[in-house]
Amino acid sequence: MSDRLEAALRELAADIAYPPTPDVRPALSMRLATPVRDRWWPGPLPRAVVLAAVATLLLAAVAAALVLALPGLRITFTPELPTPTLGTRLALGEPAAADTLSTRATFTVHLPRTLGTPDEAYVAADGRVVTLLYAADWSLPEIGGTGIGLLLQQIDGTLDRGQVEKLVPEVGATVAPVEVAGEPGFWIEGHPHVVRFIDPSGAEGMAPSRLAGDTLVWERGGILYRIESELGRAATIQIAETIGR
Amino acid sequence: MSRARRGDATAYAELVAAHQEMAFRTAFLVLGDAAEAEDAAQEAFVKAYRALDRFRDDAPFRPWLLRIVANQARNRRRSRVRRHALRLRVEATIPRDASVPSAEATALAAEGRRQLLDAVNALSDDDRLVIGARYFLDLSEAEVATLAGVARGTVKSRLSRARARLAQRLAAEIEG
Repeated sequence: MSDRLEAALRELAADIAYPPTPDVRPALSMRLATPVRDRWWPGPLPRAVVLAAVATLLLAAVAAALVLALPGLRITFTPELPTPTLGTRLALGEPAAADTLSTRATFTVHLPRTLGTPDEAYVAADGRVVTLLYAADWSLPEIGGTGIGLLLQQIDGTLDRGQVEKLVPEVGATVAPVEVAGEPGFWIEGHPHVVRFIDPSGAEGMAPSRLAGDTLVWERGGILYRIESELGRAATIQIAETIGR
Repeated sequence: MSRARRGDATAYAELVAAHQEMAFRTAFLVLGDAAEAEDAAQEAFVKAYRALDRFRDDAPFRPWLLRIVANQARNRRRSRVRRHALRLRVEATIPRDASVPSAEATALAAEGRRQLLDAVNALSDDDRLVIGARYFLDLSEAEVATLAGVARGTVKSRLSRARARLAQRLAAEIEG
Protein backbone atom coordinates (compact mmCIF):
# COMPACT_ATOMS: atom_id res chain seq x y z
CA MET A 1 0.00 0.00 0.00
CA SER A 2 2.74 2.36 0.98
CA ASP A 3 4.60 2.01 -2.32
CA ARG A 4 1.42 2.39 -4.33
CA LEU A 5 0.38 5.37 -2.27
CA GLU A 6 3.78 6.99 -2.75
CA ALA A 7 3.62 6.37 -6.49
CA ALA A 8 0.09 7.78 -6.66
CA LEU A 9 1.17 10.88 -4.74
CA ARG A 10 4.12 11.45 -7.05
CA GLU A 11 1.84 11.09 -10.03
CA LEU A 12 -0.60 13.53 -8.51
CA ALA A 13 2.10 16.18 -8.30
CA ALA A 14 1.76 17.12 -11.97
CA ASP A 15 -1.98 17.57 -11.66
CA ILE A 16 -2.05 20.05 -8.82
CA ALA A 17 -3.27 23.46 -9.85
CA TYR A 18 -0.69 25.89 -8.54
CA PRO A 19 -1.35 29.53 -9.29
CA PRO A 20 1.35 31.16 -11.42
CA THR A 21 4.36 31.97 -9.27
CA PRO A 22 4.42 35.73 -8.65
CA ASP A 23 7.74 37.51 -8.96
CA VAL A 24 8.43 38.83 -5.46
CA ARG A 25 11.65 40.59 -6.41
CA PRO A 26 10.23 44.09 -7.03
CA ALA A 27 8.49 44.15 -3.66
CA LEU A 28 11.48 42.55 -1.95
CA SER A 29 13.93 45.01 -3.33
CA MET A 30 12.04 47.83 -1.76
CA ARG A 31 11.82 46.15 1.58
CA LEU A 32 15.47 45.21 1.63
CA ALA A 33 16.81 48.56 0.53
CA THR A 34 18.62 50.47 3.19
CA PRO A 35 16.75 53.52 4.40
CA VAL A 36 17.17 56.57 2.23
CA ARG A 37 19.52 59.08 3.79
CA ASP A 38 18.86 62.76 3.78
CA ARG A 39 20.36 63.47 0.44
CA TRP A 40 18.36 66.38 -0.62
CA TRP A 41 15.72 67.15 1.91
CA PRO A 42 16.51 68.53 5.30
CA GLY A 43 14.50 66.29 7.56
CA PRO A 44 12.31 68.01 10.12
CA LEU A 45 11.34 71.49 9.08
CA PRO A 46 9.19 74.14 10.71
CA ARG A 47 5.68 73.40 9.66
CA ALA A 48 5.30 76.89 8.27
CA VAL A 49 7.93 76.20 5.65
CA VAL A 50 5.79 73.73 3.89
CA LEU A 51 2.26 72.82 3.96
CA ALA A 52 0.83 70.72 1.30
CA ALA A 53 1.50 68.90 -1.85
CA VAL A 54 -0.15 68.59 -5.18
CA ALA A 55 -3.43 70.23 -5.53
CA THR A 56 -2.77 71.95 -8.78
CA LEU A 57 -0.63 71.00 -11.68
CA LEU A 58 0.36 73.68 -14.07
CA LEU A 59 1.65 72.49 -17.35
CA ALA A 60 3.42 74.67 -19.78
CA ALA A 61 1.71 74.82 -23.11
CA VAL A 62 0.96 77.05 -25.97
CA ALA A 63 -1.80 78.79 -24.09
CA ALA A 64 -2.72 79.01 -20.46
CA ALA A 65 -6.32 78.36 -21.25
CA LEU A 66 -6.52 74.59 -21.36
CA VAL A 67 -7.66 73.16 -18.06
CA LEU A 68 -8.15 69.52 -17.13
CA ALA A 69 -9.95 68.98 -13.87
CA LEU A 70 -10.15 66.33 -11.19
CA PRO A 71 -11.61 66.83 -7.73
CA GLY A 72 -8.87 68.46 -5.71
CA LEU A 73 -6.61 68.78 -8.69
CA ARG A 74 -6.20 71.22 -11.49
CA ILE A 75 -3.89 70.89 -14.43
CA THR A 76 -3.38 73.99 -16.50
CA PHE A 77 -0.77 75.00 -18.98
CA THR A 78 1.66 77.81 -18.47
CA PRO A 79 4.18 79.21 -20.89
CA GLU A 80 7.32 79.07 -18.83
CA LEU A 81 9.12 77.07 -16.19
CA PRO A 82 10.06 79.15 -13.17
CA THR A 83 13.50 78.69 -11.68
CA PRO A 84 13.34 76.58 -8.51
CA THR A 85 14.06 78.70 -5.45
CA LEU A 86 14.45 76.09 -2.73
CA GLY A 87 17.74 74.97 -4.20
CA THR A 88 18.41 71.37 -3.40
CA ARG A 89 15.67 70.93 -0.87
CA LEU A 90 12.27 69.37 -0.97
CA ALA A 91 10.24 69.79 2.15
CA LEU A 92 7.94 66.95 2.91
CA GLY A 93 6.93 67.68 6.48
CA GLU A 94 7.76 65.90 9.69
CA PRO A 95 9.24 62.42 9.54
CA ALA A 96 6.86 59.82 10.89
CA ALA A 97 7.02 56.12 11.61
CA ALA A 98 5.04 54.19 9.01
CA ASP A 99 2.85 52.50 11.60
CA THR A 100 1.77 55.83 13.11
CA LEU A 101 0.65 57.41 9.87
CA SER A 102 -3.03 56.73 10.17
CA THR A 103 -3.15 58.26 13.65
CA ARG A 104 -1.19 61.32 12.59
CA ALA A 105 -3.01 61.88 9.33
CA THR A 106 -6.53 63.23 9.03
CA PHE A 107 -7.45 60.16 6.98
CA THR A 108 -6.62 56.47 6.79
CA VAL A 109 -3.33 56.01 5.01
CA HIS A 110 -3.17 52.96 2.78
CA LEU A 111 0.05 51.32 1.64
CA PRO A 112 0.55 49.79 -1.79
CA ARG A 113 0.48 46.06 -1.17
CA THR A 114 3.26 45.33 -3.62
CA LEU A 115 5.67 47.79 -2.01
CA GLY A 116 4.78 47.34 1.64
CA THR A 117 6.21 49.59 4.32
CA PRO A 118 7.97 52.70 3.01
CA ASP A 119 11.58 53.50 3.83
CA GLU A 120 10.58 56.92 5.05
CA ALA A 121 7.32 58.68 5.68
CA TYR A 122 6.43 62.30 6.28
CA VAL A 123 3.34 64.05 7.51
CA ALA A 124 2.60 67.67 6.66
CA ALA A 125 -0.19 70.19 6.64
CA ASP A 126 -1.61 69.16 10.02
CA GLY A 127 -1.97 65.63 8.83
CA ARG A 128 -3.59 66.43 5.52
CA VAL A 129 -0.57 65.45 3.43
CA VAL A 130 1.34 62.20 3.83
CA THR A 131 4.40 61.34 1.76
CA LEU A 132 5.85 57.87 1.53
CA LEU A 133 9.30 57.31 0.10
CA TYR A 134 10.67 54.07 -1.23
CA ALA A 135 14.41 53.87 -1.80
CA ALA A 136 15.74 53.24 -5.28
CA ASP A 137 17.33 49.92 -6.06
CA TRP A 138 17.67 47.38 -8.80
CA SER A 139 13.96 47.08 -9.41
CA LEU A 140 12.96 50.64 -8.68
CA PRO A 141 15.04 53.01 -10.77
CA GLU A 142 16.33 56.08 -9.05
CA ILE A 143 14.55 59.34 -9.77
CA GLY A 144 17.15 61.83 -10.93
CA GLY A 145 19.97 61.23 -8.47
CA THR A 146 17.77 61.54 -5.40
CA GLY A 147 18.20 58.07 -3.99
CA ILE A 148 14.46 57.67 -4.22
CA GLY A 149 12.79 55.05 -6.36
CA LEU A 150 9.19 55.96 -5.73
CA LEU A 151 7.35 58.74 -3.99
CA LEU A 152 3.72 58.27 -3.02
CA GLN A 153 1.77 61.18 -1.72
CA GLN A 154 -1.70 60.96 -0.20
CA ILE A 155 -3.57 64.17 0.29
CA ASP A 156 -6.78 64.75 2.15
CA GLY A 157 -9.28 65.82 -0.49
CA THR A 158 -10.48 68.71 1.67
CA LEU A 159 -7.21 70.46 1.04
CA ASP A 160 -7.76 73.87 -0.51
CA ARG A 161 -7.22 73.73 -4.19
CA GLY A 162 -4.35 75.74 -5.46
CA GLN A 163 -2.23 75.38 -2.35
CA VAL A 164 0.33 73.49 -4.27
CA GLU A 165 1.30 73.90 -7.83
CA LYS A 166 3.27 71.73 -10.08
CA LEU A 167 4.73 73.24 -13.18
CA VAL A 168 5.76 71.45 -16.24
CA PRO A 169 7.50 73.10 -19.12
CA GLU A 170 5.87 72.76 -22.46
CA VAL A 171 8.69 70.92 -24.16
CA GLY A 172 7.94 67.25 -24.36
CA ALA A 173 5.53 67.05 -21.46
CA THR A 174 2.42 65.01 -22.03
CA VAL A 175 -0.70 64.54 -19.99
CA ALA A 176 -2.93 61.56 -20.60
CA PRO A 177 -6.16 60.67 -18.86
CA VAL A 178 -5.94 57.22 -17.26
CA GLU A 179 -7.95 55.00 -14.98
CA VAL A 180 -6.67 53.60 -11.71
CA ALA A 181 -8.91 50.78 -10.54
CA GLY A 182 -11.81 52.50 -12.26
CA GLU A 183 -11.07 55.96 -10.85
CA PRO A 184 -10.10 58.80 -13.17
CA GLY A 185 -6.57 60.14 -13.09
CA PHE A 186 -3.78 61.60 -15.17
CA TRP A 187 -0.43 60.32 -16.31
CA ILE A 188 2.16 63.05 -16.81
CA GLU A 189 5.49 62.36 -18.43
CA GLY A 190 8.09 63.53 -20.83
CA HIS A 191 9.83 66.24 -18.91
CA PRO A 192 11.02 66.98 -15.41
CA HIS A 193 8.50 68.87 -13.36
CA VAL A 194 8.86 71.50 -10.72
CA VAL A 195 6.92 71.11 -7.53
CA ARG A 196 5.81 74.35 -6.00
CA PHE A 197 4.61 74.47 -2.42
CA ILE A 198 2.59 77.26 -0.92
CA ASP A 199 2.49 77.59 2.85
CA PRO A 200 -0.50 78.95 4.80
CA SER A 201 0.88 82.47 4.77
CA GLY A 202 0.89 82.32 0.99
CA ALA A 203 4.66 82.15 0.59
CA GLU A 204 5.93 79.90 -2.14
CA GLY A 205 8.57 77.23 -1.99
CA MET A 206 9.90 75.26 -4.93
CA ALA A 207 11.43 71.86 -5.27
CA PRO A 208 14.09 71.29 -7.90
CA SER A 209 12.77 69.90 -11.13
CA ARG A 210 14.92 66.77 -10.94
CA LEU A 211 12.88 65.54 -8.01
CA ALA A 212 9.89 64.68 -10.11
CA GLY A 213 9.83 61.60 -12.25
CA ASP A 214 6.85 60.67 -14.36
CA THR A 215 3.75 61.28 -12.33
CA LEU A 216 0.44 59.53 -11.82
CA VAL A 217 -2.33 61.43 -10.07
CA TRP A 218 -5.81 60.20 -9.24
CA GLU A 219 -8.47 60.45 -6.63
CA ARG A 220 -10.28 57.79 -4.67
CA GLY A 221 -12.64 58.07 -1.77
CA GLY A 222 -11.95 61.75 -1.19
CA ILE A 223 -8.19 61.29 -1.14
CA LEU A 224 -5.89 62.61 -3.83
CA TYR A 225 -3.01 60.28 -4.64
CA ARG A 226 0.19 61.06 -6.49
CA ILE A 227 3.00 58.70 -7.44
CA GLU A 228 6.32 59.78 -8.88
CA SER A 229 8.55 57.10 -10.29
CA GLU A 230 10.63 56.07 -13.26
CA LEU A 231 8.75 52.80 -13.69
CA GLY A 232 6.63 53.84 -16.64
CA ARG A 233 2.90 54.15 -16.91
CA ALA A 234 1.73 50.53 -16.77
CA ALA A 235 3.91 49.51 -13.81
CA THR A 236 3.05 52.67 -11.90
CA ILE A 237 -0.68 52.13 -12.39
CA GLN A 238 -0.21 48.52 -11.33
CA ILE A 239 1.35 49.64 -8.04
CA ALA A 240 -1.33 52.31 -7.62
CA GLU A 241 -4.05 49.71 -7.91
CA THR A 242 -2.62 47.74 -4.97
CA ILE A 243 -3.01 50.66 -2.56
CA GLY A 244 -5.21 49.54 0.28
CA ARG A 245 -6.01 46.29 -1.51
CA MET B 1 25.54 32.86 -2.01
CA SER B 2 28.72 34.38 -0.61
CA ARG B 3 28.12 37.51 -2.67
CA ALA B 4 24.59 37.73 -1.28
CA ARG B 5 25.96 37.41 2.24
CA ARG B 6 28.23 40.35 1.63
CA GLY B 7 25.14 42.42 0.92
CA ASP B 8 25.19 42.17 -2.86
CA ALA B 9 21.53 42.82 -3.69
CA THR B 10 21.90 41.56 -7.25
CA ALA B 11 23.30 38.27 -6.01
CA TYR B 12 20.41 37.92 -3.60
CA ALA B 13 17.99 38.71 -6.41
CA GLU B 14 19.48 35.78 -8.32
CA LEU B 15 18.93 33.51 -5.34
CA VAL B 16 15.36 34.74 -5.09
CA ALA B 17 14.77 34.13 -8.79
CA ALA B 18 16.11 30.60 -8.47
CA HIS B 19 14.02 29.68 -5.43
CA GLN B 20 10.87 31.75 -5.54
CA GLU B 21 8.74 29.18 -7.30
CA MET B 22 9.56 26.53 -4.70
CA ALA B 23 9.05 29.07 -1.92
CA PHE B 24 5.69 30.13 -3.29
CA ARG B 25 4.51 26.56 -3.76
CA THR B 26 5.62 25.55 -0.30
CA ALA B 27 3.61 28.41 1.16
CA PHE B 28 0.73 27.49 -1.11
CA LEU B 29 0.73 23.93 0.24
CA VAL B 30 0.10 25.32 3.70
CA LEU B 31 -2.26 28.15 2.80
CA GLY B 32 -3.94 27.21 -0.47
CA ASP B 33 -4.36 30.89 -1.28
CA ALA B 34 -2.25 32.67 -3.90
CA ALA B 35 -2.17 36.13 -2.31
CA GLU B 36 -1.42 34.77 1.15
CA ALA B 37 1.24 32.45 -0.24
CA GLU B 38 2.87 35.35 -2.06
CA ASP B 39 2.95 37.42 1.12
CA ALA B 40 4.38 34.51 3.09
CA ALA B 41 7.07 33.88 0.48
CA GLN B 42 7.97 37.54 0.35
CA GLU B 43 8.18 37.78 4.13
CA ALA B 44 10.35 34.67 4.20
CA PHE B 45 12.79 36.13 1.68
CA VAL B 46 13.08 39.27 3.79
CA LYS B 47 13.73 37.23 6.92
CA ALA B 48 16.17 34.97 5.10
CA TYR B 49 18.08 37.99 3.80
CA ARG B 50 18.38 39.45 7.26
CA ALA B 51 19.50 36.09 8.63
CA LEU B 52 22.05 35.38 5.90
CA ASP B 53 24.95 36.08 8.25
CA ARG B 54 23.73 33.28 10.47
CA PHE B 55 23.50 30.88 7.57
CA ARG B 56 26.29 28.33 7.33
CA ASP B 57 28.02 28.34 3.97
CA ASP B 58 28.25 24.55 3.84
CA ALA B 59 24.54 24.08 4.47
CA PRO B 60 22.13 23.84 1.56
CA PHE B 61 20.21 27.08 1.07
CA ARG B 62 16.94 25.67 -0.23
CA PRO B 63 15.69 23.67 2.77
CA TRP B 64 16.82 26.43 5.13
CA LEU B 65 14.81 28.95 3.10
CA LEU B 66 11.80 26.65 2.81
CA ARG B 67 11.73 26.16 6.54
CA ILE B 68 11.42 29.92 6.96
CA VAL B 69 8.72 29.92 4.28
CA ALA B 70 6.81 27.13 6.01
CA ASN B 71 7.01 28.93 9.34
CA GLN B 72 5.77 32.15 7.78
CA ALA B 73 2.92 30.30 6.12
CA ARG B 74 2.01 28.55 9.38
CA ASN B 75 2.02 31.85 11.25
CA ARG B 76 -0.26 33.46 8.73
CA ARG B 77 -2.59 30.53 8.82
CA ARG B 78 -2.71 30.53 12.61
CA SER B 79 -3.33 34.23 12.84
CA ARG B 80 -6.00 34.75 10.29
CA VAL B 81 -6.26 32.52 7.32
CA ARG B 82 -8.59 29.66 6.67
CA ARG B 83 -6.70 27.00 4.80
CA HIS B 84 -7.97 26.48 1.31
CA ALA B 85 -8.06 23.15 -0.43
CA LEU B 86 -5.52 22.26 -3.06
CA ARG B 87 -7.18 21.69 -6.39
CA LEU B 88 -6.49 19.66 -9.47
CA ARG B 89 -5.81 21.38 -12.73
CA VAL B 90 -8.98 21.37 -14.83
CA GLU B 91 -7.57 19.12 -17.52
CA ALA B 92 -6.55 16.59 -14.91
CA THR B 93 -10.13 15.98 -13.86
CA ILE B 94 -11.42 14.93 -17.25
CA PRO B 95 -10.37 12.03 -19.41
CA ARG B 96 -7.41 13.13 -21.49
CA ASP B 97 -8.52 11.35 -24.66
CA ALA B 98 -12.10 10.24 -24.85
CA SER B 99 -11.64 8.39 -28.14
CA VAL B 100 -9.47 5.61 -26.83
CA PRO B 101 -11.13 2.48 -25.45
CA SER B 102 -9.73 3.15 -22.01
CA ALA B 103 -11.59 6.44 -21.64
CA GLU B 104 -13.59 4.97 -18.82
CA ALA B 105 -10.48 3.81 -17.09
CA THR B 106 -8.99 7.25 -17.52
CA ALA B 107 -12.08 8.79 -15.99
CA LEU B 108 -11.79 6.39 -13.08
CA ALA B 109 -8.15 7.29 -12.67
CA ALA B 110 -9.12 10.96 -12.66
CA GLU B 111 -11.66 10.24 -9.97
CA GLY B 112 -8.96 8.45 -8.02
CA ARG B 113 -6.70 11.47 -8.22
CA ARG B 114 -9.49 13.70 -7.00
CA GLN B 115 -10.15 11.40 -4.06
CA LEU B 116 -6.49 11.24 -3.20
CA LEU B 117 -6.19 15.02 -3.25
CA ASP B 118 -9.34 15.36 -1.15
CA ALA B 119 -7.73 13.06 1.38
CA VAL B 120 -4.54 15.17 1.34
CA ASN B 121 -6.67 18.26 1.87
CA ALA B 122 -8.26 16.66 4.89
CA LEU B 123 -4.89 16.09 6.59
CA SER B 124 -3.60 18.30 9.38
CA ASP B 125 -1.43 21.28 8.37
CA ASP B 126 1.78 19.52 9.33
CA ASP B 127 0.91 16.29 7.55
CA ARG B 128 -0.15 18.12 4.41
CA LEU B 129 3.09 20.07 4.46
CA VAL B 130 5.40 17.04 4.74
CA ILE B 131 3.42 14.98 2.26
CA GLY B 132 3.26 17.89 -0.15
CA ALA B 133 6.92 18.77 0.22
CA ARG B 134 8.08 15.18 -0.26
CA TYR B 135 5.80 14.05 -3.08
CA PHE B 136 4.40 17.15 -4.76
CA LEU B 137 7.51 19.32 -4.57
CA ASP B 138 9.84 16.33 -4.78
CA LEU B 139 12.10 17.44 -1.93
CA SER B 140 14.54 14.90 -0.55
CA GLU B 141 13.94 13.36 2.86
CA ALA B 142 16.81 15.44 4.24
CA GLU B 143 15.19 18.59 2.88
CA VAL B 144 11.81 17.61 4.32
CA ALA B 145 13.52 17.08 7.68
CA THR B 146 14.93 20.61 7.66
CA LEU B 147 11.68 22.06 6.36
CA ALA B 148 9.58 20.36 9.01
CA GLY B 149 12.12 20.94 11.76
CA VAL B 150 12.60 17.28 12.62
CA ALA B 151 15.80 15.26 12.97
CA ARG B 152 17.00 13.47 9.86
CA GLY B 153 16.70 10.14 11.62
CA THR B 154 13.03 10.65 12.30
CA VAL B 155 11.88 12.07 8.99
CA LYS B 156 11.19 8.62 7.55
CA SER B 157 8.87 7.73 10.40
CA ARG B 158 7.32 11.19 10.28
CA LEU B 159 6.48 10.67 6.61
CA SER B 160 5.36 7.15 7.21
CA ARG B 161 2.89 8.23 9.89
CA ALA B 162 1.58 10.98 7.62
CA ARG B 163 1.07 8.42 4.84
CA ALA B 164 -0.74 6.11 7.22
CA ARG B 165 -3.13 8.88 8.21
CA LEU B 166 -3.56 9.71 4.54
CA ALA B 167 -4.39 6.08 3.76
CA GLN B 168 -7.00 6.14 6.51
CA ARG B 169 -8.56 9.28 5.13
CA LEU B 170 -8.55 7.82 1.66
CA ALA B 171 -10.21 4.64 2.80
CA ALA B 172 -12.83 6.65 4.68
CA GLU B 173 -13.45 8.75 1.62
CA ILE B 174 -13.80 5.87 -0.78
CA GLU B 175 -16.18 4.13 1.60
CA GLY B 176 -18.05 7.30 2.46
